[in-house]
Amino acid sequence: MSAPSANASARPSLRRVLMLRLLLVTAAVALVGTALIDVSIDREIQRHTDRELGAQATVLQRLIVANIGRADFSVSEIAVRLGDPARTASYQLWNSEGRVLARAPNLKGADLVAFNPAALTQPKREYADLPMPSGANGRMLRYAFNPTPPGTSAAPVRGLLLLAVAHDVSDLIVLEHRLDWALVGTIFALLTTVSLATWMVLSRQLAPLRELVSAADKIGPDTPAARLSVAGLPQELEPLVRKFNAILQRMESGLTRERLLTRDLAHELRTPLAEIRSMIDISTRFPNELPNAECLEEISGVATQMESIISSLLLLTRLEAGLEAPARTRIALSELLNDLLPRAHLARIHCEIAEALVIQSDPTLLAVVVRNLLGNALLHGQEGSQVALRAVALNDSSVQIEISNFAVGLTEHDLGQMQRRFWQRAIADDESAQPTGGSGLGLAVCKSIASILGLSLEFSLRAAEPDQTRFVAVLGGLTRIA
Amino acid sequence: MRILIIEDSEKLRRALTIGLSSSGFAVDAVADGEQALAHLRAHAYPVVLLDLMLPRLDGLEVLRISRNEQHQAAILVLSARDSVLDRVTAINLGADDYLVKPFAFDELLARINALARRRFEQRTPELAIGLLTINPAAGTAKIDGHALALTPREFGVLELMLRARGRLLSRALIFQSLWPLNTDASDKVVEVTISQLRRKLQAHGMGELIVNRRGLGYLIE
Repeated sequence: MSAPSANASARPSLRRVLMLRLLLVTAAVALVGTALIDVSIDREIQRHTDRELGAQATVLQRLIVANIGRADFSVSEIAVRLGDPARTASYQLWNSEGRVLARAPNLKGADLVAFNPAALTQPKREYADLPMPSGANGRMLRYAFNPTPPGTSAAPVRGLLLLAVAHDVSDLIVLEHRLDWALVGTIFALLTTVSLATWMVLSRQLAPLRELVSAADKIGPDTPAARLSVAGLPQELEPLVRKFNAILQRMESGLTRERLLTRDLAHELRTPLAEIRSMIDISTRFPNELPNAECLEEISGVATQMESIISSLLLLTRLEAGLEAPARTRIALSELLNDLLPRAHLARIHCEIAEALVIQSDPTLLAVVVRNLLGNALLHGQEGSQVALRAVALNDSSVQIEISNFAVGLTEHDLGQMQRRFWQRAIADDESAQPTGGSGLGLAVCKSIASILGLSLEFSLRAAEPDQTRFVAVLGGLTRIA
Repeated sequence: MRILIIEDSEKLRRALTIGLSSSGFAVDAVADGEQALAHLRAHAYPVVLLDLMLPRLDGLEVLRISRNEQHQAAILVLSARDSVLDRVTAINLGADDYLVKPFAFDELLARINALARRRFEQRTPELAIGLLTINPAAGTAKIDGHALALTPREFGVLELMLRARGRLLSRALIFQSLWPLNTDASDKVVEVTISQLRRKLQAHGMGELIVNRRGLGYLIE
């Protein structure tokens, strides 16, 4: 339909935006999830290490407590029991003065950690990461305890002892790093998978949009009746397409009205223009046969007719385009109708209008209808004959206006034709008949206004006097109010 | 030459009648399709001007019926319809030419003359015999280069007789061809017109151009 604008690439692509957002959300969820998993694993490993350290420290403490009273007890023998060189556990024991009482052989004489007297006052066990004397990463438990068993009367000889037990956790850290890399790889794999899956899903789900664009591209000035199909569309798009189709429908109607107006105007103005041009040509060429004054008078009549055609056609087009919305108000019908009676023809009009009739309608539009119908009746009725105007209440809620005149040569066939635009009954067989000067649009205008006001407008022929027929126009459905 | 105008616009019908009558044509004018057919059946018109949007019987229908009934008139359609389809339809139904409204009267006249030339199988716009030359399109007559002042009716008689050169034309035929149907005159007016025409030709030494065969008619040999 139209080429993409130059800055189309600057506008966000639905697919790109959806993909980006989905990837961001996925990445955020994956990162948070990975972090939680990593922290959980780290904590679990630490808890496990701490439990093991605690158990070993407890064993060591119990051994010390159980044997501290023995005269032959030597702390160094603990080393035999706990100092398993194959294991990575190390320990160190201080008395309250900071003298080292025992040290694991795998420390090779080095301190596991510096003596900290403040730790003697700490009631809780203290866990901490530390570098092992070997340089490896370690985990340490340190706490102070009273080696004298409760209830022992003999005073302990060594006072509070400070015990530090540590493990080399290098292998666990390596394991943690491996797990971290595995999690990062998982995130990348997840994001890649999500990207591909999103691309494919969006491509498939956005296919109806692409098809709509393709179908819309085919709608142009040559195919005003084309519409977008809603078949197979996702339910979210269906209302949009229906709205779009409704807009297309309105545009097509507008275009049709415009074309009709242009065509009608062009066609109906050609004949009066031909009249004007021919009269000017002939009056110029043969001034004796068609004097200029007579020519100008004729041209003036044609101009009036052209003006009438254009005004009526514009009104009709506005009515059909819905640009003339009715403004309903309370109308005293007798007042309205009496105001509409043409003063020059009052003698020819026989009125029967009930005084008390009050209706609800648009007085301006209603006046156009009544004026047109009256004008037609006066124009087309027998010369000098009576035109009847009646306004009667059919019941408590409905009123109708009836305008009739003696019909001259009208047939039932004419009744079907007269609402067509530009229809004018032939007057050729009646040499005395004068051109009407009408536009041929009056009844079409009346019909359109009646439709807008929700009224009915019917035409009929009724037998009147012998050999006479009356043409009757009935405007029905006027709403009566109290 | 006699022309039938079929046009429902009273003003245009009247203007064309005045213009064509003043140009030397005998003009009959009707306003609807039924009257048009009646005229076509009653008289042999060399040229017919036909509007398409007519009451009672549409112009295209008039065209179709007249061709079915073998009427030989050259039909020039005058219409406000300007689409190619309208023109093609009319020409396919037997129209000889198509002129869209509004039009210049001169163009209409030129096209009528062109149709007349085709009908009388005349190639050039001028008709000539000896020193006399007439141009129907321009409405001029000359003898040896000197303009001959003729009334439209005299010009029409001369043109008709030159077109029918060598053929004897009866008084009634000339009257039917050149005077409109609604005239009050009788065919004796033909004698008067020819007599006046002869006098004007005589002034230029061509008084014997029109031969009178008593009781039979007139001819230019």
